[in-house]
Amino acid sequence: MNEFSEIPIYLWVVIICILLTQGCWIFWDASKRGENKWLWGLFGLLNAPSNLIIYLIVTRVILKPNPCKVCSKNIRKSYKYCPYCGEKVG
Amino acid sequence: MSYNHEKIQEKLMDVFYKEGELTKELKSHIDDCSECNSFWRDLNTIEENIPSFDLNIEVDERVIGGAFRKVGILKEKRKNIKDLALFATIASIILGCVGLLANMGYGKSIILVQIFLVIFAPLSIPFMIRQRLVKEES
Amino acid sequence: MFLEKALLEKAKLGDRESLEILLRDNYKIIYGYLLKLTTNEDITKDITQEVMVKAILNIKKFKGDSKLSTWLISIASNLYKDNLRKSNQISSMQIEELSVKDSQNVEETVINKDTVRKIEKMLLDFPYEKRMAFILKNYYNYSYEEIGTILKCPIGTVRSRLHYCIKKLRSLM
Repeated sequence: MNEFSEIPIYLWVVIICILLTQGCWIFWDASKRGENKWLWGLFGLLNAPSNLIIYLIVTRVILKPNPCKVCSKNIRKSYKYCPYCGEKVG
Repeated sequence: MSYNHEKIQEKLMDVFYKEGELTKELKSHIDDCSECNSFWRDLNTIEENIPSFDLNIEVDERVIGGAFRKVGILKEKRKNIKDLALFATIASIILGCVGLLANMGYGKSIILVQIFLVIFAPLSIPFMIRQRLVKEES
Repeated sequence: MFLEKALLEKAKLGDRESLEILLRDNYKIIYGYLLKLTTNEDITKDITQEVMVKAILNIKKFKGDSKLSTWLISIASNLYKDNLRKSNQISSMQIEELSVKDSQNVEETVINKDTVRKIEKMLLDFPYEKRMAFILKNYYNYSYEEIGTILKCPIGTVRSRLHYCIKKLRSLM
């Protein structure tokens, strides 16, 4: 246990900054895509970089990006009308 | 008598636009001076060539609807920025507490939790996707 | 006037329908004004929409001491100035191309010929501040004082700009 208090403070500061940046970026990206930004943001605070990779895989690869032209939220390809802004897409 | 034609013509303009009064002096000057007379007549000609109403303009509903949509998007963006600031504040506090805990000697438990998360977080992906699909089907 | 005040009160409280009605009523004035300034229908539609966006966002700030149309026209004038400044950032060569295209467009685009008359075509050669003053006076009958408020300049400047336009138009006619 003693080894950990010998870890220099600046290292903790760096780790905290990395996690903060990751969390904020994921939060912002999720809000642009219409995802649940609060959950994703907290998720992004937990672990770096694995949680970032998970986020990217889920949003970019598995749920393929298909942004609505008007409000740029992600919508499924089968939709004819955007559920967020009502614009015709299909 | 030397009249400053520029000044006279400006005054004529004022009278024409009903922003000034047609004094007797001005009237007699118009009658005497050919240049100012033609200026006065030209003012009337210009007005004749101007239609009094905006004809043939149809209200395009798409413009109005589009404006409301843009406002919606803008307002949402502002809200997102405010939420981001809030999130950053909350996150800093949380991480600050974690950092404090680590400093106080709980570092080992924190690292253990991290290892646990790294192993088990990816397993939650299929669950999240299934939840998303269910939400979209509804 | 009463109706406008009532609608305005509702719109300020957030009633979208009242705001829509107000915007629809003033659409022709804004569009007509911008069309005379630009003689280009596409740009006019874009700027008209931007005017509406600004109006919707700032409707709570409108005090109601002047007519709504006056407020909207001053927004339109400012946005038109910004639009000019933005397009001035393009290189000078492109500006020449644009102005050539514009004068061709005046003939070719499907504008209703009645809405763009001789005088408006001549006005295109004038600097924009003078053009604005002329249009506001002759087409919309705003007083010198109102034009000064809209264009944010003293009354003397309004008079001299109008005088400039009239002198030039006389020489062109």
